[in-house]
Amino acid sequence: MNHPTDVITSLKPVYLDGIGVFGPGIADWSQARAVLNGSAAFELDADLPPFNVADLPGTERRRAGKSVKLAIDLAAQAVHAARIDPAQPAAVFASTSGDTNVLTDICAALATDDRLISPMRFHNSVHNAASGYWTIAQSNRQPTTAVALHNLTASAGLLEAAMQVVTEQMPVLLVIYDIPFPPPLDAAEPITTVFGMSFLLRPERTEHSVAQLALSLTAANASPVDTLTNPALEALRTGVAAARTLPLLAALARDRNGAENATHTVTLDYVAPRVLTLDVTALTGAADNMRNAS
Amino acid sequence: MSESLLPITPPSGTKSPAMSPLAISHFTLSNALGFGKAATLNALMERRSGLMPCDFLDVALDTYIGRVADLENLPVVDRLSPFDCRNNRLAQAALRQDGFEQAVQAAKARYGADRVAVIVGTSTSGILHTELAFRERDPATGALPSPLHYRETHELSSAPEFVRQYFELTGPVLSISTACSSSAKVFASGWRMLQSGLCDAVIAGGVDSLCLTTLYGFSSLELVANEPCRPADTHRGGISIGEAAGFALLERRPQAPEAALGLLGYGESVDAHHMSTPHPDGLGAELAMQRALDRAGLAACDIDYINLHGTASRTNDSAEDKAVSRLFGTDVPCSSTKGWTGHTLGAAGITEAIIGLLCVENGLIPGSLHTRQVDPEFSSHIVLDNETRPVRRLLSNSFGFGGNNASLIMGRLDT
Repeated sequence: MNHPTDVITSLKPVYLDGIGVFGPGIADWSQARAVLNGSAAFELDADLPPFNVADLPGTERRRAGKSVKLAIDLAAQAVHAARIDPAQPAAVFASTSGDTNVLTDICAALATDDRLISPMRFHNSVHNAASGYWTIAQSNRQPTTAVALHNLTASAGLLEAAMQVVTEQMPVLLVIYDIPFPPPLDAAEPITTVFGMSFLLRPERTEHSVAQLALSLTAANASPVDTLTNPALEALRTGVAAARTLPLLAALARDRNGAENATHTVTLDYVAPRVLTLDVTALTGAADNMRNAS
Repeated sequence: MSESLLPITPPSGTKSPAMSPLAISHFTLSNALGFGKAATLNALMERRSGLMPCDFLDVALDTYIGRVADLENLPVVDRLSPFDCRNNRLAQAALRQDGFEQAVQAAKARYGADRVAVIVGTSTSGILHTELAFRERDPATGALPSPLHYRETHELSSAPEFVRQYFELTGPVLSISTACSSSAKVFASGWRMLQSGLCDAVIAGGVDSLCLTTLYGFSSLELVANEPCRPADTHRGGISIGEAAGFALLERRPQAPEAALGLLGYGESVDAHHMSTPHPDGLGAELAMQRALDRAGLAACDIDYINLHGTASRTNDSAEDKAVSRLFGTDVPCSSTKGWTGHTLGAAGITEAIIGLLCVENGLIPGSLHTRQVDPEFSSHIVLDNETRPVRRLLSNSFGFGGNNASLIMGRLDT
């Protein structure tokens, strides 16, 4: 079926009230912004900051694996920056393979003679482990989902969260996160490093709104996927599914210095031959939001 | 740009807004009862269980399972051979029943390949493929056999990507993996996708296949029964694990209005209580059911049958009974069909939604199989024998680890 325009479908715009980022040498959005603006250096093999899991109760902190801690850190960054009650938003947790350490441990244990796996490791193996820990920590009973789409996981998560904001008219926390597989699965499914980002999205603009995001599915031949000029950042983008959002984060970092209502169009990869385009419009709540975040 | 065709009702207070129903224009399921709708319907009517003593691979566990026969001999089509694994074999076998394949091709012709979305729920995807590869590790280097085809077999979107490529579609794709509520939630995401105008039809489904992770994992939690599971029974001793696949074709409007079935409401919630144990009073479950009623614009008395999550675990059945009784009182007929299929985990949502649609089509309320004496602590109306009576609307529950809950209301569309 032929469509008259390159834009296949557009969603009603959503508002971005809080941003979290975690990666090599990046503990939060202010550090990510500096890297994306070129005012701070980025190295793919820089040390990972410690996870901030202050939002997890002690028992859950001991039970949680690495990917859960990453997701909790990111979730907390976005909701706190957005100044929203953490019990309010629905949540979309997006990761291609979730807790790669737990999956590897389980598959290794099941290849031994006794095949014993611990109950805790088993319940930590579900893809919605992070959402479980997060909602327990925040006494949040809103709808929560966990999704995946391999290298397109980030775009799939953005779409699912934005659709939920638009159709359910409620705030939605989006957390996109990946950690690498240990050996031997790393050879079959290489994930370069630990990376994640988070957004708190709302259906209406608030005083904390940083940007308006308008998502569309577009024909790929009309709009090539954005890449990054810094080779280390580009290696991060292509090496970790969650980092496919870096061009979007770069646009948001740029908008921080731009004028109100300046719009950048960002193109992220999606199911071929379609791409996900986002019209990113800076809002004046940005300055206030930045202060709150740092 | 495609216009969103249905009105969005704004929310009032914390109540979920009423929604426009979706047409379920075609559906199919395969599980331990056999391939296709007739196999499941006949077994329900004949009260014949698909559960057998565990004979899966070399698993030595004292339990019953709901295994799908013959998957060993049903490889995926040659052109998609990297996707070949038990999970995708089950998906393919299910797609080929009940004219579902033809219904998808018709939708593709009607709307375009880029306007048909695929949303599939799974808990463990094709993890069995990786589990077995770990038995073949190189003794010197520890390396796995290569190529493993991880993305095609085990990554969580293996099944939806397989389905997309099987039908050569280019619309939106998503995998939902929220443990045992996964393939109930595909209906909620499907509704949102249609409502957003991102597509014109959704293949909403679920696939979960037997694997060592779930068999040994649930055993480690002491949640597995050593007999066919007995939902709501005083002496229920845990779950029986099964495998299944099911698919439904969702559209905004029915293709055959005179016999139209549809999704009337959905409700999602989490318990915020514990990773592997439900809230003892079923607070999250109640919230999911209430949200489904609100979205459907219905009251408890409008529901003719409740297909319980009813796993036969001590805690699930007790918590669910409390939640159901508080909302629906003691009169609405309730049963679990897991005595037939076993707990098909990530495929339970779609399996039981489609069983519910079969109940509507055939005026059947299946009495809980293997349940001999209902737990005297329970107050909901658990049906033990099959009843033949009109079912216009039903509610189906699916609850999972992480306290993740989804309730669906399905039934006849008023046209």
